[in-house]
Amino acid sequence: MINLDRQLKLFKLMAEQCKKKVEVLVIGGSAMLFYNFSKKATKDIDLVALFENERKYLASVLERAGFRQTFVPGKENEREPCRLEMGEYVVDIFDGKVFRLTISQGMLDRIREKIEFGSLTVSVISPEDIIISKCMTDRPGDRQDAASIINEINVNWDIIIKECRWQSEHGDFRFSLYLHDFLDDLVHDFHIDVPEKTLKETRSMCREFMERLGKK
Amino acid sequence: MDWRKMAKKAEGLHTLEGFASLMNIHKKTAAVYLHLMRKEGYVKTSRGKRGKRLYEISPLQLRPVGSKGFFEVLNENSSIGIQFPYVQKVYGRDVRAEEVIIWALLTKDYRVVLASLELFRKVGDFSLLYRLAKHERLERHVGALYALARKFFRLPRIDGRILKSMMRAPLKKKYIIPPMKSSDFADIQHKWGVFIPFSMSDFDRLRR
Repeated sequence: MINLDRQLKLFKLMAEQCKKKVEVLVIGGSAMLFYNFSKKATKDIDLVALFENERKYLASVLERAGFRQTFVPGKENEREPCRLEMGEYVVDIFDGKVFRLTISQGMLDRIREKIEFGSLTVSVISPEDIIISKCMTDRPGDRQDAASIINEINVNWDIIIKECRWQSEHGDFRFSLYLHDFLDDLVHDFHIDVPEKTLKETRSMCREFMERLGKK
Repeated sequence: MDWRKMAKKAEGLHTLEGFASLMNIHKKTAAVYLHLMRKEGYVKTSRGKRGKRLYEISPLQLRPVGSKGFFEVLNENSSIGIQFPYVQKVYGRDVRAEEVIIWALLTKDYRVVLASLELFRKVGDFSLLYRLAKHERLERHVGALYALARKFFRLPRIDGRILKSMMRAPLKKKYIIPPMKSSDFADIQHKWGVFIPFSMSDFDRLRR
């Protein structure tokens, strides 16, 4: 498991190998470590490079630092990350798209913190965007993380709904379904208090999606 | 006592009385709770009008990482307060005033560049400032702003050789903040060949 100190050491190591300025987003459990949530360690480090050439550059930087590339996404699975491993460090690098999620301008505007490690700038996404990034997977660990975020802070649900609409229009058109299922699991399995207004909005987005499917 | 839960319930900006009334407790108890929450990192204190103490309560905090970034250094050294959309930190070193001046120029933001003028007071190494300016091709811009800041603040003197090098540097972009230029400070604009975006009245704010 990787805690915040070890994560920072890794970024420092990457910055030492970087010869040009690169900005990278940190998402998922790695982003949670930068906040005062109860989660203190993560299994892997999820990074998002905004462009494909930056992803390739970061992968080469990590290889120079001693990492071994264990997975390279092809054309059929371009939304999957590039995976690099060294000891207990596991780094997944995405390029603007994280599985079914597309990094939007809204997410970039909501960045809460930027940390400069020399040539490498690490940007930390907001807690609402961490929840959004967790809603597309089926992993119980991700639901647990989202539940702990919602329990520990006051989440801005309007941002989540707005982002979901954007993702449905510009990214994966099924995004509203993912979010609806996700919130449903949180309410029933984790007994999380999601506002009724938010649940109504997700239900209506799902209905709109089904109607559109029916028309096709 | 679960301070995080309390911070979540009371999130926002409060006075002591407001917090006490919200939590339905006595003022003295509220003061103790705020003190204990501040120790946990959930409360930031500031002053409002007529010196009234204000408490900003939030259950969400960023873990302390690195040292002060450009925004913090700028705000600490300038009488103009600048609000930034995110927290910026630098890991593994301290940011110098020279770097902040160059960074401020690169933002091309009116308030940020105006606020950075006071940072010339903190410049300890003009050769570093020149090297950083040369890297970004901003030698003349930095020289002009230094000359401008000298009119209003007491600044350390720049070395004559560095000044000459700055004046001889090639100039590609005449605007410090395109397309802003003013009719004040014509002598500096003419000498350095760049357009100063500030007018005399902007410095009243700095001097206050």
